[in-house]
Amino acid sequence: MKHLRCLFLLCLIFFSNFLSAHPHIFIDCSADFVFDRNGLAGITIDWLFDEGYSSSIIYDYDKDEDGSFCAGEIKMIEKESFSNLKNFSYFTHLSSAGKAYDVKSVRDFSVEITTGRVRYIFFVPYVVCAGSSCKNVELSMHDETYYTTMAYVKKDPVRFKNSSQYVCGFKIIEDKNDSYYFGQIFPKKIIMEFKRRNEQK
Amino acid sequence: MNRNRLLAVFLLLLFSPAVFAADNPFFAKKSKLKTAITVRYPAPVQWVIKKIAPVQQRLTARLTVLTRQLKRRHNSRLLIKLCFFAFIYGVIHALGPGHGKTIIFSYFLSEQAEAKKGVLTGTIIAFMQSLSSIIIVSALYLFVRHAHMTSIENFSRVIKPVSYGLISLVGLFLMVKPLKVLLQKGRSGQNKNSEYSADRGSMLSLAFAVGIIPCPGAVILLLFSMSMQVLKIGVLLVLVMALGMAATISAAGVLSIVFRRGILNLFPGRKKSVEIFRPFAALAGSFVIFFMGLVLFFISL
Repeated sequence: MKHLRCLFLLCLIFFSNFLSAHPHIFIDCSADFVFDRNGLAGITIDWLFDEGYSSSIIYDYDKDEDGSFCAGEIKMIEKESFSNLKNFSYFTHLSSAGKAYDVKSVRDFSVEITTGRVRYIFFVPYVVCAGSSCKNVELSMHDETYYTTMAYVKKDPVRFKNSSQYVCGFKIIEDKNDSYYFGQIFPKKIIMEFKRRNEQK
Repeated sequence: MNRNRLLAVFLLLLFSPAVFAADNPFFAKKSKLKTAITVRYPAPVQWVIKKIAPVQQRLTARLTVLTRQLKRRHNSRLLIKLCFFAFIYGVIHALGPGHGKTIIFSYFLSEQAEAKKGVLTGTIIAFMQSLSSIIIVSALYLFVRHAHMTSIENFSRVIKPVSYGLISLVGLFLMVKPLKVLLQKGRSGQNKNSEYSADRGSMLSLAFAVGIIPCPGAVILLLFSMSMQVLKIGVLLVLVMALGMAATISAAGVLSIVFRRGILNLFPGRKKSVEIFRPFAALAGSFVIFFMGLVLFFISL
């Protein structure tokens, strides 16, 4: 009976616990919060793919084999290997003041090759007006199907652009109240806070 | 372990997300399957789940770096190292969904078999999945002189309903025998002594049905080696990776065989109870295969 119990446990571990360990694409990501005079204007997202997946993108789209993508090649990549992500909110999950925002469109898509790895860069318009009190924005980058796994880069995962008028700060937390992929993975969220800087008289 | 607990574990295994292998979201439409189901595990298990993805990432990075090095200078020690990492990658990669572990587990729950049959079926599935990846990538390369990721994804999308349909048919076929026994028993009121041993035909059909879907992990490895113009090394790596995958999938088969034996040993000296249990176990296992195949078939359409 004891042995059988062990077997049950083994089966449970074998079939349920490790099943989420199945990503095929690995992305190192970072975010630039871009401000204008009204407050937050949007976020520039940077995805650096693993070398294996990058090689298939390079092989498929770098037709002239010059080690970079021209405008036409970038257009093709956007059409064939990026635009479908609108069905997955571009793996970009945003909310502010507890209100979730479904990312339906992005702009300024570009692709680079950095030491053999493909980098996608695009801008997600997301307006949050600044005030004298703190506003917060929550950003999580993850693929709910877990086909792709995303991790924030160690060095400067979050940067601020045109932020001289604002006081900004961020922290990255593992949100235990939120989960995806059948509740097995907890997303890492960037919580960014900002407010208008007090003018010196 | 009481009956309710046993049933709960069985249902958890049956409806575990292992069944639902995801498509590449960069190309595929969003799954119709709602991911509202949540499965929470104890903290140490959750920790393992968290750790496995970075391990896979490190392994793939290691494989790509070593392949580059091997291209620059041919070195047998480097090749052995590369094969070692490909094997480990295969073992870990097959722990994820979409490699037929749940199917093989259900099959050997329903059919009586020796452990070596579990190993054999697992090995056939792993090599079939790798071979189908090699065939599709090489064929596209030979005929189109280019193997687009999109073409491979399109091919996978076509082959998936075929595979799931076949799995469902095998399940249906396996249900016939225990159903016959149960119907006969119902008519005569007697327990007929019958064996449900795994025959070569059903084992091979199942292995074929599960194995025809190319493994995306192997495809990415092949495309990488093709882009590096070392396709032969890529093929070798995928075959070694298949060995690793075979170890994991076979373990599922062997585990199921031992598990079945353990259940039957619960009734020592009660031959009659065992005879009653056997057709039900066979029917349940084959129904799981049939049902999973059917669900996956409709999801993949």
